[in-house]
Amino acid sequence: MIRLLRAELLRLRSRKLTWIALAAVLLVVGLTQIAVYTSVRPLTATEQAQAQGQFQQAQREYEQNKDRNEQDVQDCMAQGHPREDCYYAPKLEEFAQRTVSTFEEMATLSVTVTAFVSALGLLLLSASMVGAEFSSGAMSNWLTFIPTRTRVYVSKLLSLLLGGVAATAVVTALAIGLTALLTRIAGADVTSVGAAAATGGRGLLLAVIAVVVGFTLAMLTRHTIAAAGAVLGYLFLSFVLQIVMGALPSLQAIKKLQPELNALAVLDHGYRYVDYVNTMGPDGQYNYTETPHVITFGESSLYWAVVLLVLLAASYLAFRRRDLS
Amino acid sequence: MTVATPPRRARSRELAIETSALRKTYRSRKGRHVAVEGLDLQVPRGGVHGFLGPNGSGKTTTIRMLLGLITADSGQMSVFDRPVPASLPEVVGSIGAIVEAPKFSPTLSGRRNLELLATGIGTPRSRVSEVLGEVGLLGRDRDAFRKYSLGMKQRLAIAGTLLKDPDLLIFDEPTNGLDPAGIHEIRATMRGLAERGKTVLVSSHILSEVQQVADTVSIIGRGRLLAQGDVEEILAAPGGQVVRVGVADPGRAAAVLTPAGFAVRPLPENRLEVRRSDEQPGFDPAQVTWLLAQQGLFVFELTPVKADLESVFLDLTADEHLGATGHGPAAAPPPPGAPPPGGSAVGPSRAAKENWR
Repeated sequence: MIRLLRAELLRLRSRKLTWIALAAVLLVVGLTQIAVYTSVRPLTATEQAQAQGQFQQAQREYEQNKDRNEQDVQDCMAQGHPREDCYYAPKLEEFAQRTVSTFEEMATLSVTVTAFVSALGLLLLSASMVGAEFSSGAMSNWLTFIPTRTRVYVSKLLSLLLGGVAATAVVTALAIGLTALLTRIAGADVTSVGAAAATGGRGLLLAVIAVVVGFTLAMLTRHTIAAAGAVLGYLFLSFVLQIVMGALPSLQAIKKLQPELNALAVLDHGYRYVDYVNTMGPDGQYNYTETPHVITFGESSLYWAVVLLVLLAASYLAFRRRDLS
Repeated sequence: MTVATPPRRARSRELAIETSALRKTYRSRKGRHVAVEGLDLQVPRGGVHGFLGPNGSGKTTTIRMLLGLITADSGQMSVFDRPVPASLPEVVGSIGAIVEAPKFSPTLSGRRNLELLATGIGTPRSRVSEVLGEVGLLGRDRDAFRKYSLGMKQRLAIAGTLLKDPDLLIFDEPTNGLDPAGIHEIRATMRGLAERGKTVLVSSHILSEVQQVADTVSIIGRGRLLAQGDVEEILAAPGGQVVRVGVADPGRAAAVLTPAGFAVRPLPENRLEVRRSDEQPGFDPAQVTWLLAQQGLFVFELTPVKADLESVFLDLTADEHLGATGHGPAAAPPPPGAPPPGGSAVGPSRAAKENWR
């Protein structure tokens, strides 16, 4: 098995697509860091002066119309709204061209982007590794040398898991490190590194999910395009479902089973979402209700465990029993 | 027939491959198609064994079953006396196979493809350079496989099989798409391997090609064994002895010879190809002249035709309706005036069918 694993890791390393996918992920991580630096950087003196000037101008105008503005506030409160919703006095932060983010916020963004882009890359890479072998016939040639299909299946999957998780770990660490570095350069504090690392760790679970989904879909369909098509097909179905769920609120119960929400629940250690329902009351008025839901980390882990086991079992049986040309 | 080494007698030898009552059916939306039906194949150890049959006769399916790529519906198979596919992991080190076109990862170089195989089977990577040198690919080994010509791909596939130094090599239609030089090269390689004591099973529908290298052959049609044995025995069988007869009225001559147990095929310019249609040994050409002379038909030419595998093959497969698929040699349209297909024009010759043991 070790021999086969070494051969598969060599195959993974030898493919151009592996390096193209890695380069694409690194590019996205790099572009994210530009956004990180722009967000954590404090306002420059010019920006502050600009904001101050605009704030003072707005304040002067507010003072000039103070009576009318106060009346507006009273009218608004009379309609039952709280004061903070009715009070429109200008605030300095509203005139800043941007808000300055914390390291924690930007590290979360950076890790989330890295995890999802890596997962997408791994899904396509895994599907391509297997699909290309089937479509070129290299798989049947390989099996004439190593006829034990179980070992071939396991070695191919393990190599993708090892390579995928290792690459995601390195890229995630790089993303967190760069975010911390840029935050320091910007003169802001680097705090809650542990939380970012924990999100990154859960991102590795996402990498495992992506590899298994890509690998098993390609094993079942025996073609890269078909495997990628299955994913695209799901995304289209998901879009249609959103529309249908708007018309049939009872269908919103299936949201808990949607892969993308469960992926978010894995990464964010739980995911909150809200169901919106419009119902007509006896008075003919529409009542708008919001029902909050939570997919816990445990629920999403169980969900993925079941999905992956089903995919693995189906693809393994298909690979073992299928005739190969 | 040009054979570098004398044909080996097989009966006393062990078998490299044996199948018994092997059957495979493919199912599709159009229904069921029997690819291999009760095939009893015996390939002796050592030498080149030709595995002949028209396209679609079940050669590749049989090879794939032997290699575990597809599952047999029923029947038994063994390689070096080990049942396959159950014991395939134990004997696979002794088997090198190229099934149809060589198949490697197209984006990887020839060398990298072999390195993957070497790593997978535990052969030192230094062996890769050796086998690349043996097949003459060292100068192009770093090119992507997809950039190789068909001949180079074939050579790379042979190099792949040599990584293991196998005792049994299986080549499925190895010269498909090759130019004459490439065909000669592959033929020489097969012969060379046989002379080193290896067993080479070569499947082909190009009979002249096999005749030049094979010591023994099996002929199949529609998934069934039609004949197998030493090439010389196959050619010496009654169906393999043929004379060309020139006569003024070929139609009347055919009508005289056919009831007398001869198979007759019209040729151009008032000639007939005549052979025994039954399985009686000892073809006496004088009998032909005597029969015709009795009917006032005088022969102006009587030439022995050297039998070849192609004529034997056509003879064996003529009544198998292989032409119905439109693929095999039997699908060629009969010459004008020829008897209907499947009739008495060419009778089967099954005398050569025998067991190796």
